[in-house]
Amino acid sequence: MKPLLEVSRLTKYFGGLAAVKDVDFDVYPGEIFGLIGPNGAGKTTIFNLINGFYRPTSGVIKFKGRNINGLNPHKVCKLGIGRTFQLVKPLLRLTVLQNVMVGAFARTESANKAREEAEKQLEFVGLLDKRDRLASGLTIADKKRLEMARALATKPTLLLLDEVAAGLNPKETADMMDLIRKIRDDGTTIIVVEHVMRMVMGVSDRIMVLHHGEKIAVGKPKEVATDGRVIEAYLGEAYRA
Amino acid sequence: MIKMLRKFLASRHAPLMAGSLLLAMVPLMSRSPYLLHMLILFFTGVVQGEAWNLLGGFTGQPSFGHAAFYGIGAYCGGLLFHHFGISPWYGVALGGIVSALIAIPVGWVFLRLRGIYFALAMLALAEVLRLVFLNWRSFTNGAVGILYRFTPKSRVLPYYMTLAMAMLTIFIIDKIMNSKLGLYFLAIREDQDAAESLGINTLRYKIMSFVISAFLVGVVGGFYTPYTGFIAPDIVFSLPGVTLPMILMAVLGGPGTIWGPVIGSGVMVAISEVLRSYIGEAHLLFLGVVLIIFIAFMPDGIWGAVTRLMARRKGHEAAS
Repeated sequence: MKPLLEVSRLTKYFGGLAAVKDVDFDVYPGEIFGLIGPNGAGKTTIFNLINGFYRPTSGVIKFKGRNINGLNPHKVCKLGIGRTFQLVKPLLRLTVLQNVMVGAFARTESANKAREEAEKQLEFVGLLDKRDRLASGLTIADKKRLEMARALATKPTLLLLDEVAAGLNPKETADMMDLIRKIRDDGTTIIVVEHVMRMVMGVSDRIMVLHHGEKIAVGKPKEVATDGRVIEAYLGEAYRA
Repeated sequence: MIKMLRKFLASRHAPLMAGSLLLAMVPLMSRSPYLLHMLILFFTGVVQGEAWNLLGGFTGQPSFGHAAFYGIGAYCGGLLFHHFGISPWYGVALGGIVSALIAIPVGWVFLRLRGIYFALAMLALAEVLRLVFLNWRSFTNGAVGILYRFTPKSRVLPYYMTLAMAMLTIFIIDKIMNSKLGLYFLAIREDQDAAESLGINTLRYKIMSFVISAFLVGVVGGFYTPYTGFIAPDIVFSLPGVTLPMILMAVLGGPGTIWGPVIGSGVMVAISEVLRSYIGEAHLLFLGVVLIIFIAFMPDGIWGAVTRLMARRKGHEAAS
């Protein structure tokens, strides 16, 4: 099978500091691909490179076989990559419905179609009953759902989820895992950046581990969890069992 | 018939249509030049306030130099008359078009700046234009300005002209804000990074808002020349005289609302008129203080405060 996303020798320097260094990975259609590593390992930087907020210092990012290096974020979105933000960025003074309609308008000019699509996505993430509230009034868990609905409304083939489980309680985390699986089952490929191990181990088909901007392991959750270097750099002794 | 009337009263455009109808009857009842002049100032204020508000209030890109487009608009007609003896009334349409055309490259450069940096770049632009028009005497007649002695004898025609401008402006901006374009403007105001990630070409949409805003201000500038009969760089490119009132009309009335600038323009015309007769130029100082107070204590303006109070009362009624 051809990969949906091909990343090769991706490098990003900020001044003299390498935030991401020579990272290679492929993501295949229908996969849930986990990205883990200690704080500052370069996970969010990789999202910002794929999504177009940053330009790579060197390396190539190919999406559907096409080089997307240096494209603006709005173009990357139109090509079919959606994302959420680690620090949520809801459009605070707009309603929940309007937030998602903004996403839906990426694919249609018609306000009616955008509204329909937005309502569909709100129902999917379970926010339809809060559609007329201002986004500023939502809880953190709901704001994260809102960002997912908004990104899904742009009809992405690849969805980048940045720490959607951070700050959620165990029940909310379990719901979030179900939601992520449902999105994949509907045909969207997903990359998750996550610190909550229970979540990323439970939901990912494959996981890549970053440390100081470099790839130190990639593989099935079990393989990664028993990798000596990963335990040393990130997971700690508890995971050796 | 009654059904139609009821349907009309329930429609979103009812207040606009009813208000315009009432205002359209004013010259039939009184031809007092003073009254008509005040209302003309009110109408042109509405257009300017709405224009600034589209960019600063709805799109979140406040400008401290909108006098640039006012001046360009004013000088379009002024220069036509000065060099070719052509009626400056043509400057009304031309002023809008030229301002809009100039706004495209200016926006393409300036709108890459965010927040206060954009506002300051605009401030600099207006100031640079003022200096250029002051010193390029062969082309602009410099500080002497341009005099047009054939100002209209009756204020009735200018009255209807500006009433139509104000109506059309409100109508168009209301249309925009209820469309995809308007929602994109709001999204950019709320968070540019989020907007980009959702497929919005933020630079392009900011330029659109900027160009529409510049067009409207250019039209009012174009109207100023033949209506008052005299322009000079220090008048039409003025920060305190042109840009500040424009900001005040939007911020006082309610930034990011359709009716805010209408209220703001009314309040501004009234305050300026009263103050000018008592304290002269010092009224600008007073307006500056008012602006600060509003930004600090009533950031959603008069209209915002009123709608908040109404919502609260509704809530009380529902509760009891």
